[in-house]
Amino acid sequence: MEYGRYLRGWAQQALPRLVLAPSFATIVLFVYGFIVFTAYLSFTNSRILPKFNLIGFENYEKLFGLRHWSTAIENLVIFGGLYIAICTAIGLTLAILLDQKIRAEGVLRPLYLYPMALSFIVTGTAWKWFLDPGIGLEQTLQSWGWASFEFDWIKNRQMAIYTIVIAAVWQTSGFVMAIFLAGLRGIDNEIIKAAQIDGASNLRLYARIIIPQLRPAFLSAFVVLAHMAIKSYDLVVALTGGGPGRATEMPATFMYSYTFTRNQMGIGAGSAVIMLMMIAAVIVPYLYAELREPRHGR
Amino acid sequence: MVDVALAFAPGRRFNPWPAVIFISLAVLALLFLAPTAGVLLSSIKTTRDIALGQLWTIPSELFWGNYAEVLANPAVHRYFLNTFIVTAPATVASIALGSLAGYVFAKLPFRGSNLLFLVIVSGMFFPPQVILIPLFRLFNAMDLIDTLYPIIIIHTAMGIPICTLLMRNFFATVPNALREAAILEGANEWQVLTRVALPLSLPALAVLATLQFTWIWNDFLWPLIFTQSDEKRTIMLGIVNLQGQYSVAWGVQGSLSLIASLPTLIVFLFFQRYFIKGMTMGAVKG
Repeated sequence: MEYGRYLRGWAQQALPRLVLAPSFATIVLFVYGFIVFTAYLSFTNSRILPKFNLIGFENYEKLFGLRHWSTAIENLVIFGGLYIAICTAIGLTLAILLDQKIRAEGVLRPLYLYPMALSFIVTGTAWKWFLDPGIGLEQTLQSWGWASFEFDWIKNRQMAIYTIVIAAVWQTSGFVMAIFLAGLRGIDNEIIKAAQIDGASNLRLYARIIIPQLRPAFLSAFVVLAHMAIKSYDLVVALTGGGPGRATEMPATFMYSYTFTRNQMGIGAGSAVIMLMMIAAVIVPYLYAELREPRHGR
Repeated sequence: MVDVALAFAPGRRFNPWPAVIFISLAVLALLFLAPTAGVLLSSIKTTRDIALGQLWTIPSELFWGNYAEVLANPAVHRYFLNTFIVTAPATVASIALGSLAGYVFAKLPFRGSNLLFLVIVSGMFFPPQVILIPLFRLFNAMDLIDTLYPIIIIHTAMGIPICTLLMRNFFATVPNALREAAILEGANEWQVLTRVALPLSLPALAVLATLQFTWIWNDFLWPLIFTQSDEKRTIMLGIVNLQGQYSVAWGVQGSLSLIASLPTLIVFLFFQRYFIKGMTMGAVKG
């Protein structure tokens, strides 16, 4: 009897931990454990197969000496900056407009959101045609009589990176809209009514009250977009294949090609570690801010 | 809901704002539709028509040959089957594990559980590239390369953080009194979870099902790493592969892209109304 009760008590104590164990173990091994493994490999002279003798920072020195890598970093800065800024602008605008109790919101909203359901491969394929001078926008507008119209960015080494921005913005800005719409719907109506009674104009209402209240939504959107930008791989492959030449190389395509096709695993691992550090530079301050503030709204 | 539309119309004068807003939104919607419309148009035309510069015009007669070509291709059937074999179990398993973990974190916290929660949820922030080499070595050592198992396993694992986060946040909104009442009635924890908490969390489950299904179906990188033969390719790899075979057959590529997107589009349109609601309550702190 005593023993039975003791066992039940123990089970009740242990059960939550037992339930968590598989998930926790999976994440610790697959994510944290393997990050340590990758970091270790980046200090070895692994090529096709992993080797375990340490060679110091040699891979990182090589990595930052490579022109491909500096192209990839430059492209990431251009792509990431524009992608985050434009997605946020379009997403916020759409959310504010949709939030005006307009007619047919239920019909319009899915039209902005649906690209999210498409894969980056399909998005890349569609935009590859749309941007192709031979069959896409350029050809169409020329055949409609605008003979001097030119739009050949996808074939242009200087401009090709911007075509990736265009396709990525198309794919994701609906999702950003959803984040902001969720934020707008979470704002306390009383505050807005009070401001309206005080005679605040709409512009002031948005600039002073509503947009500042969206701070968590801005943060979430920024974190999600920065994360997507740094790891983006599929879209580049489908849209430009990293070309023309190597003009649209990104860190993710660099990492894949050095690890799996050029058999420079040490350098590939090093580039992955740099990608991790870039994401950490975005995420860690965010998590810190999230955890410090008392959470509300739950 | 921010109700400013009314404030735009102080008197009874004609108020142009709703119309202006509606028209801007409609124009933007057309821009969002344009690329897909182009693919759709190309899919119902012959290669000859497209090559003649007719990609963007409305065809005088519909040509179904591209769809017939895609649907008759046994490789496409295999790609679809493989993708389904990967997507279904990984979606279900990640949501199941996330629900269990989320329930524990929300309703049965113990000393140190907050730290565990942080460790698990932070897992979603890491780029796949940083675990790619060890994973390849692991599955290679287990002789699982060029099977579908590694893709199922890794999608289940990588889905746990987001599922745990969303379910934890959603379960936190289920009143504790409900759980206590059920336990007084003699229910055990499992029954509280399956009979009380989960039925109340259908919006969150809908959001997660949509996200996980879409994400796994559309994934490209993991199948690229873990499969080698055409027998084991998933649909997104298949599209890229067939682009070589049908390099100038734009119409075939277009119809294949649309057919490959149909499952996620259907799931998405079905669940999208839950999406904003689920996000307000869970994924994004409101």
